Order: sequence, then structure tokens, then C-alpha cells
Amino acid sequence: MYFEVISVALKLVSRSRTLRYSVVTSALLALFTFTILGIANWVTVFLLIILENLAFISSVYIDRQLLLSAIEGLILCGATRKAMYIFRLVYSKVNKLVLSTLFIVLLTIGFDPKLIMYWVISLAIAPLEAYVVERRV
Amino acid sequence: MCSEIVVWTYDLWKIYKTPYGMISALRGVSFSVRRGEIVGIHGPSGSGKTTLLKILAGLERPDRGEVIVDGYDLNQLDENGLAMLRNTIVGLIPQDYGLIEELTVYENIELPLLLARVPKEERHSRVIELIEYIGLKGREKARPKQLSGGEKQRVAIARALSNTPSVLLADEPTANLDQENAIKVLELFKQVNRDFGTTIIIVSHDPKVLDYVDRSFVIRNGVLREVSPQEALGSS
Repeated sequence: MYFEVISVALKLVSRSRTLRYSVVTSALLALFTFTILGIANWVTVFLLIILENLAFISSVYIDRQLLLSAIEGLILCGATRKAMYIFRLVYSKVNKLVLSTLFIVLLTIGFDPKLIMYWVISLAIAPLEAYVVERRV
Repeated sequence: MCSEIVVWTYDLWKIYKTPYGMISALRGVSFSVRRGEIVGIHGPSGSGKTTLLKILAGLERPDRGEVIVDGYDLNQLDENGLAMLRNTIVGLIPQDYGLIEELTVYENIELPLLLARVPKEERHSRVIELIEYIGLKGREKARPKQLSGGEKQRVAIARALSNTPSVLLADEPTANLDQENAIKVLELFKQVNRDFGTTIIIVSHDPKVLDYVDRSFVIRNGVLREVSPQEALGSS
């Protein structure tokens, strides 16, 4: 049963909004930084901030709802308590890994002077964002 | 109809601690259901209907009393035993359907078979058979959010049936449906009962359910008693 719940967890992460937003953000950052950095401007910065925040909010709010519906569904279908523990562990760790990958990409290429404003704004709104998301959850 | 008892409870009590004190959700519930019967349990909100279903499905344990479902004494089963019960013996259809939003119709119905480690080919044929049975052929790849309330209810029924359980428990199956879809779902329960001989317990306060059940019970303040259809109608 453990293999089966792990496969369900991976399937759900692969369909999560966190993954989608993280992939798009990372791809955009990489694109602007390594190929057409010249066009990185305020619009780009705000676009990236929005995408990054959507990934973050998805991981703690939208995908959390998905996690809860999955837990209910799996319990109804006969998953054991230990299998559920493994499911939650895999789901949350892989989800975190997806977000970490995004942050690693940001960290690696985010020191470019043209994107430094992105980092400043992103860090500045982080506490507010965390507060709002926590309140919503 | 076979007279074998498939669900049997004796002196069931369930007490919840709340900030306002102790609340007895069930007070000495004793009843039995024969194999192949469709039974309705009626009563107002907060009367203990859902608590009783959760105990029968092994999702909660009673504080006192005995429960036997298809020969399994639920008090004697450990957590793994109760999980096995939910996987193969009892199919529970919650009021909110309990479907996983990011899985397709096919994947939701396949889930109990997957957890039971049924081989892939067998799983596939069973799921396709069930999708056809509930009349959703062609909607295999749809997600629950793309379905109407009636269709979601059908998928929840198919998922509950996937491991051919002995007992189907439905919590307010018509509560979120319009008249037409409610009747379709109740007809489907009747069809399942006829085709598979599944024992069905429907918890509801919808008077339409009375036309589809063999016997009725009323639960009020945690006390359950069998009633005539007319009396049940008055309680709905």
C-alpha cells in the first residue's frame, strides 16, 4: 500500500499549482537572465514577483485544500494510518522541494543587478504575504 | 431476500466532549440490517445520523456497545483491520462525495482497487465496467470540478462499489441535488441493490428516500427506533 500512496502523492504534486507556478517562474527568470536580460524591466520584475507569490500561496493554501481532499478520499478508500503518514510526508516534502528548486534558481541567478530590485521587493513583502496567507489558512 | 444479518449493533454510545460540556451523539443504539436490504435512517440535523454511519464504516469507534459488520466485530479490529473494512467490506459515500479534486473520474474510481493491490488489467476492466454502469462513459478523464452534483454522486457511488462491498453507506445522498438528479441517484441505489445484492443504508432527511427503502428508522437525540413509512414521513 505504501508504494500506491506514494504514487498518488507524486501524481498530485505533479498536478499542483505550486509546481506549475514554480516551473513558469524559474523558466522566465532563466530566460530573462541568460538570454534576453536587456528586456528585463519593471514589468518583468512584477511578473516574476506575482508568479513567485502564486507558487508560495498555492503551496500553503490552494494545494493544502487539495491535500485535505486527498486525505479524506484515501481514508474512505481504505488507506491505513501508516500509509496516510507516508502520503502526507511525501506530498509535503516533494511540494517543499519544488518550492526550494524555485528558490535555488532565484538565488543562483537573482544577484544580477538588473534583477536586484526583484529581490528587494520580494523580501520586503514576504512577512506581509506570510501573515496574509496564514490568516487565510 | 436472504435473512442473514449483515449489520448488527447493540447498545452503541458515542459521547463527544465540547466546550459546552458532554454531548451524547448516540444513546444505546441497537439495530440490525439483513443482507440485501435497503434501510433508511431519518432524523433532523445533529441527531446522530452521521456519527452512526462513521462508526459503521470504521471511521470512529463507539465509547460503548458492539458493532458487527459482515461478520467483523469492529471493536476487535485494529487500525489496519478498520482500513481493510473500508477498502473491501463497506463503501461510504459522504455528503460532500469525498472525491479527490485533482484526480480524474477514472483515477478516483480506481483508488480503492489500487490500495487493494488489484492487478492493472483487472483494475482497468473493473473501472471501465463501473463507469459504464453509472452512465458516465466518455467522462473518464473529467475532474470532479467539471461534473454536476448528480455526476459527482454517481462517481462516489462507483468508487464505493469498486471492491464490491457487502454494505454501502450513503450520507444524505440527495442533499445537494435537484429533484430530477435526486431521483436518478436513488434509482441507481435501487439498481445496485438489485444487481449486486448490496445492502444499502441511506441516512437522509429527504422524504423521497422513503419510496426506495425496505425499512425505516428514525433517530432523534441519539436514540434510534424503527418506524412505519408514515411515521418516517412525519420525521423527515
